[in-house]
Amino acid sequence: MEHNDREYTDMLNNELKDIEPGAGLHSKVRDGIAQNIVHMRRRNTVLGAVVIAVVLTMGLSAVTPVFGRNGTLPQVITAMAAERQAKKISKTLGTAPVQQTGAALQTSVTTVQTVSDSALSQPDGVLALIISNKSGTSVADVLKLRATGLGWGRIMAQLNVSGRDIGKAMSQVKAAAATKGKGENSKPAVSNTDGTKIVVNGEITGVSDTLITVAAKTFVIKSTTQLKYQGKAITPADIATKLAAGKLYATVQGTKQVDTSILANVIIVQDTAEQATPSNEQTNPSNEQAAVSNDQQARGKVTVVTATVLHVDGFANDIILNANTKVEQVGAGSTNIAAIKVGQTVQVHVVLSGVTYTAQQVHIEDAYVKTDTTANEDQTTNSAVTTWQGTIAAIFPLNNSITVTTDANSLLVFRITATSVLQDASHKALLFATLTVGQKVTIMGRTLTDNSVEVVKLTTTTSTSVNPGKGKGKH
Amino acid sequence: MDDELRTVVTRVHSGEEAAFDDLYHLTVRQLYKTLYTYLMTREDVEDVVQEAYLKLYQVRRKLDDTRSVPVYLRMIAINCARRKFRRSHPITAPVEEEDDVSGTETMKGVVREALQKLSPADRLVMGLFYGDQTSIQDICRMTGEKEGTVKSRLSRARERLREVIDHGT
Repeated sequence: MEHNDREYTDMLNNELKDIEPGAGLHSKVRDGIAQNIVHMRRRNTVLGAVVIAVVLTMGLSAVTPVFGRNGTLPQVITAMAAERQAKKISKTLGTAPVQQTGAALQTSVTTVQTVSDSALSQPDGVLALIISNKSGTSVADVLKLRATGLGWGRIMAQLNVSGRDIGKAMSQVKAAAATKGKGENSKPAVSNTDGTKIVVNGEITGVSDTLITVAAKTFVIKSTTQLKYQGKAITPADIATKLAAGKLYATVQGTKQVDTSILANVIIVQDTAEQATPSNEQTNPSNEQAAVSNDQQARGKVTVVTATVLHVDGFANDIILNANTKVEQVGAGSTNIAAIKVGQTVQVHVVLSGVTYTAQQVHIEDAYVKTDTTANEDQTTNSAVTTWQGTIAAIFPLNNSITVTTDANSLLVFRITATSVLQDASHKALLFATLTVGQKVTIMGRTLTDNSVEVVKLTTTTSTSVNPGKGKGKH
Repeated sequence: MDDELRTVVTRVHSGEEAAFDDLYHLTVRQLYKTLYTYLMTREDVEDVVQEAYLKLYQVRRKLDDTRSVPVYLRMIAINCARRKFRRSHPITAPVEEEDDVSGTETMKGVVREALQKLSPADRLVMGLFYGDQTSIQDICRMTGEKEGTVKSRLSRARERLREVIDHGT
């Protein structure tokens, strides 16, 4: 198309002939530009000030808790990342993320309950559990810090927990959840730890004073049965009451009896279903083969201890104590289960077999403190205590025992335990290591089934006159 | 004109404040007429002219002296005018009062009436092509429309204008 149609061009030019910009338009344009320049300068000044303020705040916030209780900027960023991860994992876990996290981190039921009972949201609860677990701080302390209004980043910094620690723990929880997911279709956990022992994990469907049915298996309850709920003793009647209110779960460790009944040794009652131990269930659903063992270490304060059950804070499961459990204590050497007290810090070598955690060795880190009252209490409360007098014939430091030739001229083995009181004639405390062959002693003790004697109190009546290195037995 | 414009653009590009005034004076008349065929009111045209030159001022340092600054300026102005048009949604632009009723002026009144019966987009293309002597390719660049569309608009505008002038309807 060419511009050869002059008619239209002329017509339009004629029409627009008088259309000219007004004289004032230029000044309006100049004014607009001038205003814009001023506006831009102001904007740049404000922006510059804002940028400087942000840079200064960022620099300052890296070292000073300018975000108040949320801490420094890195702490705020760490908290945001941790919270985001916690939300994500909570979403992934779906139901009861706190409980699942507790199970994955082997946190005690009591600890999980503490978090569940708190006002924290599920993601915050997950975070609290992980921080507690990674820092070795009790969850109650973590909750206290949170209750003061501190941000997670500041709490983490205070408890020396890094973002990487959180990430690792999240991965652990996620992996545990994935494993659990694979086993969800399997039957409730039932496993044989040996030919006679059985462990069942599942819903309680019935309970009476003498019987309990868990995961369709019925166990006999006797006076020796340990019943526990949240680390505390519970009666069958209490279980029945709780069961009437809603679903209840339990892990039961029992022993098959000759008459094919199963005697419950330990019943641990829980509000939620225990996470099925994957190893047995997936590889051996028939539960007829021996469980795969798994050595673990548990360390923490003793929250509950009985003759057969030990509960250590920070370890989710109850630990079975038996005759094979070796116990040793700082300052006392080898000792027995009775030496384990609530509140002591212990390190336990645990062997997982099926779903049962059995203590192989318990090391009591709290130093042994001997008190006279212990012996006195034993004397007054145990009628089987007998008194012997004689001379130390030999000392066996390895198993904390001595042989004594009694005045009746018989040779007896006396075992020194953690509760044994050793004292000299003036009732001054003695150490086992100071005993010497040839010393005259008066011993109060209990005769054990192997005819050895467990020493309640040993009193030396004379000082040694024989070099212990040369002693060969009778003096 | 082209050489003069190129020199002015170079001066503007180098940051000379007075050069922008020269650029204004060199380009404003044509821009004003083009915008008038589109908006048909002086107030709207002046608003758009101010806005267009302000935008040009903000990018003055980025202007390339080899680039067609008038085309670029009209592109800015057309976009501003379109925005203004959309904001106000005028169904028809108001007709300005005409006092002179001589023969030539009667013709002018007819042409203006014919222009007003065109769509704003058709008017713009008409103004650019016949008023500015802008090429079809440049109109396509400025309006963002395809060549076929621009040609259709021109054809339609001519037809309508012819009809109005010949038959007065």
